[in-house]
Amino acid sequence: MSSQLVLPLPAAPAAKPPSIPSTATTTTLPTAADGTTTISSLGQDQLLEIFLRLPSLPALVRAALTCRSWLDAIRSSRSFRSLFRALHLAPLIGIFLQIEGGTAPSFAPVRRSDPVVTAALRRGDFFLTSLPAGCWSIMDCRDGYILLSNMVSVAVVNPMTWAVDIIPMPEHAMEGTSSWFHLLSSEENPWSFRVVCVCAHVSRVRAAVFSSETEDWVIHPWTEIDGVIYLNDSGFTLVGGSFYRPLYGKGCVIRINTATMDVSSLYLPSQAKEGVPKVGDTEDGKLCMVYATEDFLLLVWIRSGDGDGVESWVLQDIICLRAEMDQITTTPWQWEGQVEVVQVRRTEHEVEGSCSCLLKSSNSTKQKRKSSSLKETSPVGLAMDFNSVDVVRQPLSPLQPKSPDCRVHKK
Amino acid sequence: MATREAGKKMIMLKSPDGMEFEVEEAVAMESQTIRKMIEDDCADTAILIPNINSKILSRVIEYCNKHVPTTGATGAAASDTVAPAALAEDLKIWDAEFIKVNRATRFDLIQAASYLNIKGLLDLTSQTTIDTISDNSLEEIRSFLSTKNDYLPEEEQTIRRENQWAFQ
Repeated sequence: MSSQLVLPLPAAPAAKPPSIPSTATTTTLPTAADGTTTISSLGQDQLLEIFLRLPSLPALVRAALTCRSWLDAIRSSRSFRSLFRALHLAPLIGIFLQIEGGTAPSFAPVRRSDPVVTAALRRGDFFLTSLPAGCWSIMDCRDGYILLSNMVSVAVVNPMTWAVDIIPMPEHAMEGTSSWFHLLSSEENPWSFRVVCVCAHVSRVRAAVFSSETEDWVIHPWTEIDGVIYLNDSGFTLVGGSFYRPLYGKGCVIRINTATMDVSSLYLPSQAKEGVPKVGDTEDGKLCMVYATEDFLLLVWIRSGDGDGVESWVLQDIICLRAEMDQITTTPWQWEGQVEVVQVRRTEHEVEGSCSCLLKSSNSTKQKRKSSSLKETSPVGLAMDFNSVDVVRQPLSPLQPKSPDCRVHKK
Repeated sequence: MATREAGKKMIMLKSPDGMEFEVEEAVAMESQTIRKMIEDDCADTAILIPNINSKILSRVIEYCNKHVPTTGATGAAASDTVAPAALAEDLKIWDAEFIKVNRATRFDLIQAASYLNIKGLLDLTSQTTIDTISDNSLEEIRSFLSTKNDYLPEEEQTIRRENQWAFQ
């Protein structure tokens, strides 16, 4: 005779006392007073299971506002919210373009029939009307926030809530340095953010961080690096909790841990030392480095850890661009050594570890630039995505009934 | 003891009201919860499902029987003659018939599918609820799902105004 197994009972909903399983008596899941099962009989986990299947964020908002217990269920489970976000990728709603001579970036909305995008476009302040007058240029754009600067201040704008924070630059930290501004948002509290000012002086790097919670800048100590950062180089790329930026010709990448603001160097494999790499992340969040060789090969390296947490670069792919070069020019040999990776972006809905690159090849002798890309050409601009909206705290993108005054942070 | 078909392992599922259901192991393993138990432990056992009555359990087994990937002699014959698309279409029609149950039974099935971790059944049983939430106004959701609105009127007004974009 075989033994008998009893499946464990699921955790009962908080409101109801847990039933005790027994082989002798019938144990049923909680039901309504009249004995029939209703939606209120479902446990919180079951309710959230259903909510995960909702088609869009607005549908989740409506569910949350049906009754208090549903709102509480959504608010209390952070894992549900991150899963919901992962399953309902934020749509692209437009692109900011920095037009030379303009006083603020221009916004080009994406036209499509998605009602979520339309609703966001109608309600959000994408024309940045809530910014004070002045000449603003865009520095970063992330998780629904836009970071701008006007030489003396930086502004953090949340177009969905119309909130504007004006923050003075940390002048004493920046004095005599090259600096780059970046924005960090918080998964835990979508209403808080940090502005990071990375300052470089010859071969030293340090970060100054403004937190919306403390409303103050904290300046971290200098770290010596193995090379020189040049003024006109591009900024840092955020990948999985750290900022990265290749140090050209030095065969290393500077890494700044965003939790501690510690600066460290990550050495590249010897083959990559001559290239001009760009970093990005793969869909599964790994650090990815791509550079083009003189003879039109794209080398894709992924930073992978083994079981013991030891990380190393792994050559993931070699992509030959000869066919693409032949398509865009009849004299590909003139472009040898001129192909440069502009950006490495993670792609959505593709196989794990995939990423796409924007490429640029420049021929300085002819004084012209030619853009080509494997997938698409994009204007110089930053994509504003719709990640900010989070049903959590204040259920959702609280559109202020009154136009809010912008918050100015004192020094 | 029911007879065993050659080459097919049978599993005994028991409901708390004393009914026993002998099912093929492959059918029982449509439930990830049961699959895990079988994989972790000995497969020879009878399994008591402590909180799903025989009426609901028999429906769940009916669903799993229909949805178990067809293998073996009969399965091979079926996939040889019927195109996968037609098979999927057939399943869809079958599902639509299957889910024609009253609301209480549907929620019972949701609970069972969630507890036994049967994704397809959970998708199917949740769909009406999802449609209700997606396609209707707050008042309609509340009335269709018999949930009680426990927000204060002014509180609801405020939240609605703050989330206006989601109600357009």
